Amino acid sequence: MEDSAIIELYWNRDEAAIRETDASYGKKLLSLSQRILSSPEDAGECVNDTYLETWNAIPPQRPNFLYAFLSKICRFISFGRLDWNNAAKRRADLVSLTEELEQTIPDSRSQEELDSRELGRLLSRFVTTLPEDSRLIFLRRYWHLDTTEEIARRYGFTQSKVKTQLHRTRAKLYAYLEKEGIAV
Amino acid sequence: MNGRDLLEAMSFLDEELVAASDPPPRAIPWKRALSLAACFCVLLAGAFFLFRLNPANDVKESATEAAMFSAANAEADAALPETACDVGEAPAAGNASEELSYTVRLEELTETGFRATALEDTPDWEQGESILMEYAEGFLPDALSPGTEYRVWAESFDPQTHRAIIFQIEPVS
Repeated sequence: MEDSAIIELYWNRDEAAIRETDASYGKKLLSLSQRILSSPEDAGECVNDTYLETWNAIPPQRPNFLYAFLSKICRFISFGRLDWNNAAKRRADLVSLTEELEQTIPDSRSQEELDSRELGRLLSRFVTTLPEDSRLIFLRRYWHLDTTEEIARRYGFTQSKVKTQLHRTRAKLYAYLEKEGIAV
Repeated sequence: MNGRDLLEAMSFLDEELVAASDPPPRAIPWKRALSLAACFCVLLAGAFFLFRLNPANDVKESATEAAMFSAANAEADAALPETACDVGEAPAAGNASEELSYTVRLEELTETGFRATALEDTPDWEQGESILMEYAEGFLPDALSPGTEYRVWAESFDPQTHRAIIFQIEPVS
């Protein structure tokens, strides 16, 4: 079913909206949540919570990009459930992702604090400055949480190119955050 | 703020940006399409050849058929990489394509290769960068001279250490 039709079901408070959402995006949402949480059961619960949040959000919202809307909620819920301090429940590849992004944070004491939403807006502005290939690779890695191998396969690049692009983009992000005065 | 905060803050990216990063995978790159077409031509040529070998089939080879067979063979030979139907980007040694090679200037020899300066921008490094070139297993080039420009074929590159593994090298003519 088309996204616009699914959204209409939400607006009409038709519970078929949940079924159609699950049919269209259930697997992708589950996969995304499982990249954050090691437990398939926890990931499944997060996906169900995503459907509930979406049901409560539409209306009044009418998202232009349904999967982006859903996956944003799913990502938020999954990270909220993640116990970062519990190594047994924390995925090793997620740790390496945070370590990669750690390199982009300037080391300066006289910088302003930002909350997640403002930081997200800042990151959006940064991402729009990137060339297309760099932007897609950056988003696949740090938003969709793909491995470098998956990104290479998706776009027909070598893994070497993916890693190089990520390395350079992280360096640009470091310079960007430093210019914007972001705190450690 | 730490890496974890940044990773979580990515959830607040514009949905339009996220949507743009999630279309169906790109159409097969032209190189892969060419390799697939070449494989198909080889299969066709092979089937045609086998058909002709069968004595029960009294096929008279016309000039047109001969030309088609030769053309299919030539096309397959020109397009097919060293490994049949291999869609990987790194060509095998001795069969490297011009476009996958990069120009560098050899600065100093090391035990396992040499240090070079990149003379052009590439997907892996930028012009002017210092790259540590190491020889792939089983590859041992002829005598190399510092200060000379070479064309190298790399099978991998580590951006963290600026180290490339090369499997072929030749002086720039």
